Amino acid sequence: MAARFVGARIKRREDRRLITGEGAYVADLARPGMVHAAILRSPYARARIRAVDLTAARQSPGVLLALAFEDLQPAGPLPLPVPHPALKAAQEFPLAPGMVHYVGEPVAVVVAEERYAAEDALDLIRVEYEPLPPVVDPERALAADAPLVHEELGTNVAAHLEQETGDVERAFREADHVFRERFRVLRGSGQSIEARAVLAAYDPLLQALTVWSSTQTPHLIRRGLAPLLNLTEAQIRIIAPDVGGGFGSKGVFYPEEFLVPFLAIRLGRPVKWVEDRREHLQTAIQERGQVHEVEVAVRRDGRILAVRDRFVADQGAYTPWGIVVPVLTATMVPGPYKIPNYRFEVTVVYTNTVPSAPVRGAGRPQAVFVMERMVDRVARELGLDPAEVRFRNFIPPHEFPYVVGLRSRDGRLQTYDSGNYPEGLTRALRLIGYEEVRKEQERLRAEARYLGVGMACCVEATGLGPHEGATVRVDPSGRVYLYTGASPQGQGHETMLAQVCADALGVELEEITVVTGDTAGIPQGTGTFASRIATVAANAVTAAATEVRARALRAGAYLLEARVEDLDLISGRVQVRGVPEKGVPLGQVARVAAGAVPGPGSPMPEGVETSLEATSYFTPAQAAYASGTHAAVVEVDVETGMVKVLKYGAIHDCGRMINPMIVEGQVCGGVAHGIGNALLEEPVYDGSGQLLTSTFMDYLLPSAAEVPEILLDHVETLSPLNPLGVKGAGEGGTIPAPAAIAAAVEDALAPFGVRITEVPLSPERLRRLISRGERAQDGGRG
Amino acid sequence: MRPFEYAEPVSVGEVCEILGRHGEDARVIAGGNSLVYFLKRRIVSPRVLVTLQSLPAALGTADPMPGGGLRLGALMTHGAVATHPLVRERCPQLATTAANIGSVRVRNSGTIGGSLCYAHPAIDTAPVLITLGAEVVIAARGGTRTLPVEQFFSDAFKSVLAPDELLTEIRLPGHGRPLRGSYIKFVGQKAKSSMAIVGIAVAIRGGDGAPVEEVHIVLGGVSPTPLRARRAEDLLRGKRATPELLRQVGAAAAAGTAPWDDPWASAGYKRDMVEVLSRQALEGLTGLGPGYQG
Ligand SMILES: Cc1cc2nc3c(=O)[nH]c(=O)nc-3n(C[C@H](O)[C@H](O)[C@H](O)COP(=O)(O)OP(=O)(O)OC[C@H]3O[C@@H](n4cnc5c(N)ncnc54)[C@H](O)[C@@H]3O)c2cc1C
Repeated sequence: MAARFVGARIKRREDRRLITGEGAYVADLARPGMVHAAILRSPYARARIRAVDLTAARQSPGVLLALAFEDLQPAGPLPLPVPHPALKAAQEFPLAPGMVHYVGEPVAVVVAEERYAAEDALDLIRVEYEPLPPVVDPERALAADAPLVHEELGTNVAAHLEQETGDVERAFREADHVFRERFRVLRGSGQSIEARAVLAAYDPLLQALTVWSSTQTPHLIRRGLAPLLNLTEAQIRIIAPDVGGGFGSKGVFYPEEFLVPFLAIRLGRPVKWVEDRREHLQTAIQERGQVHEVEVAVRRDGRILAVRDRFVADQGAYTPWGIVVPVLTATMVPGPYKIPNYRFEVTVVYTNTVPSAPVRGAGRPQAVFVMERMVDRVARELGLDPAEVRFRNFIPPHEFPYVVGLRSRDGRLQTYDSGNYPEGLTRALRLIGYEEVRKEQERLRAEARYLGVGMACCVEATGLGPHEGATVRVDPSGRVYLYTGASPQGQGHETMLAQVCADALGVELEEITVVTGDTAGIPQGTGTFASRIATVAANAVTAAATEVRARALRAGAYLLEARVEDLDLISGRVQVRGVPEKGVPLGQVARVAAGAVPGPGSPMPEGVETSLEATSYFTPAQAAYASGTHAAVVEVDVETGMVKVLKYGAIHDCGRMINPMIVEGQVCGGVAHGIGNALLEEPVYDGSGQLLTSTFMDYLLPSAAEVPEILLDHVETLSPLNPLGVKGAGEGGTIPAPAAIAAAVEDALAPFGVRITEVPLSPERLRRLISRGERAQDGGRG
Repeated sequence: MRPFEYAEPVSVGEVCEILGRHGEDARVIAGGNSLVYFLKRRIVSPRVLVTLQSLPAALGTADPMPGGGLRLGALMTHGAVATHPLVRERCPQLATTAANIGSVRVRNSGTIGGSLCYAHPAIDTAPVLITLGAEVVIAARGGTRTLPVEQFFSDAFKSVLAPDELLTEIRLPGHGRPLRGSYIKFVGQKAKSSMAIVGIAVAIRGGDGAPVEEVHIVLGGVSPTPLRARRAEDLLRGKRATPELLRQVGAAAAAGTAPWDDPWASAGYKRDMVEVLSRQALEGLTGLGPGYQG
């Protein structure tokens, strides 16, 4: 059947609602009798709690409840959804039990009739802390005399992993050149417009709990919550209503996911908690912090023979997503290059900072930064064009499926399914006009203006398991309902999944209602992260819709007294092929399947299955590997250290594009995030573990004015791993951006001998590097 | 945010009356851009919030004054300052400065009076107004007083306003020959809509091929209140600008500052930027360079 909707640039059906203020976020919701929670958070990065006195808080006007750890029954610990054999996990509790481990960790909670009354009461809680020296820097955390984040573990090492493919030692012995570098990638975060929020209501009559949470993973919240509250999963319904962005920071089971439902049950009244921006900056998971020591072995011609990478990953205080991030970094360092010998060694360390878990890009921006910076280094040392070194090292397009030689995050052999990396780079260079930019650079240098061009390539594991499902049901009215566990945070799932469903079923787009983010809609779900929805959910939709179509044709055969083989389902009508006037609307077919025709008491008509619906789960055997290539042109003002991004080209390959407009939106948004990581975003902790960037005045984000126009192009290498041939598109915009910008800045500052080994690049850091370069040159001349 | 009473007076007299009655317990709210944040963070928790939105329209407009001067109502929004023909004609640098404050939303609601009373060390309006010799008019129950803007600030986030006083007007004196000036709002890599890292207001008379007769250099963001760079002014006054002299002037301006570390800019970087940018600003005004090319 020809695709009418898949592949089309269809405007997002959710946008009118979302951009005209008609969206309903958790903060917009109210329940009768609803009360409000506020949370007291640790002002110390590491301290013992000697005593918590809630007396005055409990007597404060309007206060219904004030609790500390001892008052929680049950009290946790919080779930660890992604265990790893190498992980020494510390237990995390909803309220700190005797020790606090980062600034912002919840210590007590107050519920009051009004939010301000709850906040008033927070001021009255007396906590006696014994402040202890914290460990903030991940490398310092490894020192023998470093304070322990979790004394009970006896070490700050959360995990140590090593893997090797090929014969690295030998390759280094035989190489023409060996280059060594140390790289630092600092932390960043995911700043959604809507911060987190939870509203919970317990109905004692139905013994049912309903939770509205601004989460990316409703089903995982339900899974985590049930044992903690001693309820069955069937008693819990989690609804993620409109969610204003997530970027990973809403993909975690936070203490509040437990506290708010717990309080609602305890009080017998609906309880709402809405996070403010300061809390979000202080307590929402962060990512990226890593320090790499990397070596490459190269041949005279620029071929990379081996890479050896040792790095320390900053885990923060807990492991809400296990050690997924450092594992992703470690396994993705080789990226698009054919590197026969690779060895990594990663040490994941606890620090007294907010926990680390995947943020858009999830470990890959670091891997790409490390690898791409080394490729640039090779080019510089050997006097080759950086593009040329990449072309010489790419995995050739005819070598797919390509076995990297590593075990990936799911324990399987890491195998790239499809791709065309040289094509990506060729197109990226064309987008920015590489040759002309080089000439312009030459011309401007004569005027003491510093233009630079940089490029970066990435490969990204997308569409991870275990599953995502879809239920497609035709209502007797003829309207099609599509339920999925893939809950959106603004990505356009409603539109994209409707497109897939419309084609597979044979109905018009407008006839489909897409219901997301509700555990009552579909029994199982995984959630939205790892660029997985277009791959995993969309293929489930195809399967479910195809099954419904088959059922509709069989029921239609009964109604039309025709043979199934002669029927078609087009635009919501089952009709005899070639005789469109001989047909019935889908609603009528649904009524037959519902048993409404012939009617109660009669047997189901022969060949007609009950209910025009189907549920299907797609369970990918492995990741589908998307790729991207970015090219950036920047100008650096050497007096101020300011970087202006003049041109930005992004190529993305996510296999078949279900809706190119949505893909482009994802890529552009991703690039903006990546530019933030490259130039701006940095949670700054001082030596005592205080977060200094707890407002948007201090935590810098790119605004529309700082994001350049992004030139886009696509390579479409279909994935052989799923019927639609798709791969994920949610993160590829972010992943190569820091590396591309760093390369461009370094290129611009080549006359000063500046080397970029750290992001983000503040103007101040750059200026320091530039003046160091100037001094070195003066020294050289003098 | 704690609950409060909301008063909506319709005259300056009535505002002063309410403020006089409640003293520290009352706060006026103009555009609310800074105050609402303070309320939310409970940095202030007034019992009475006094809106200025129903005051006479004259408080929101600009009028000419004899001798080429201007009076600006304290409730003029940044957007109104940016676009008012009289402001654009008589002190274009103030119009440009206002046009670069915050975002469209901030400019449409934030007021010039509110920005002065907020007294953030890096507020954009203050340095420009000081280089132009502006004054503020302050009303209270007992009458009004007038004060140079330069004397209006007492500390970071503090002005000399008493709790019962209202800022009503800003006056820009007329000049025989207008000062030529510029303002550099330097945000580094921060969003264009954020507060300056350093702000540099410069105004000179003469200097276009001739000696500089009069020079005003006022810096924002590098001390608790807007800082006049006196040593730098002294170096330049009466002299013909040369690249070397302007380099010295920049260095002198930087030397007089007392900035602090922020997460996004250290004290040292701020000082360096004052040096670079005040030199560039003066180069621009004296024809020795293109000026700041932000
Ligand atoms: C996102 C954002 C970006 C910004 N960017 C910039 C920028 O780039 N440059 C810049 O200079 N500023 C910037 N600001 C601040 C902006 O200039 C505000 O307009 C200003 O700080 C406050 O003006 P307002 O009218 O909103 O005052 P309000 O917030 O209403 O009041 C501020 C304070 O002044 C007092 N007050 C107000 N009016 C009077 C009066 N007439 N008499 C006595 N007291 C009074 C109030 O009681 C309060 O204490 C920004 C603000 C925001 C929120």
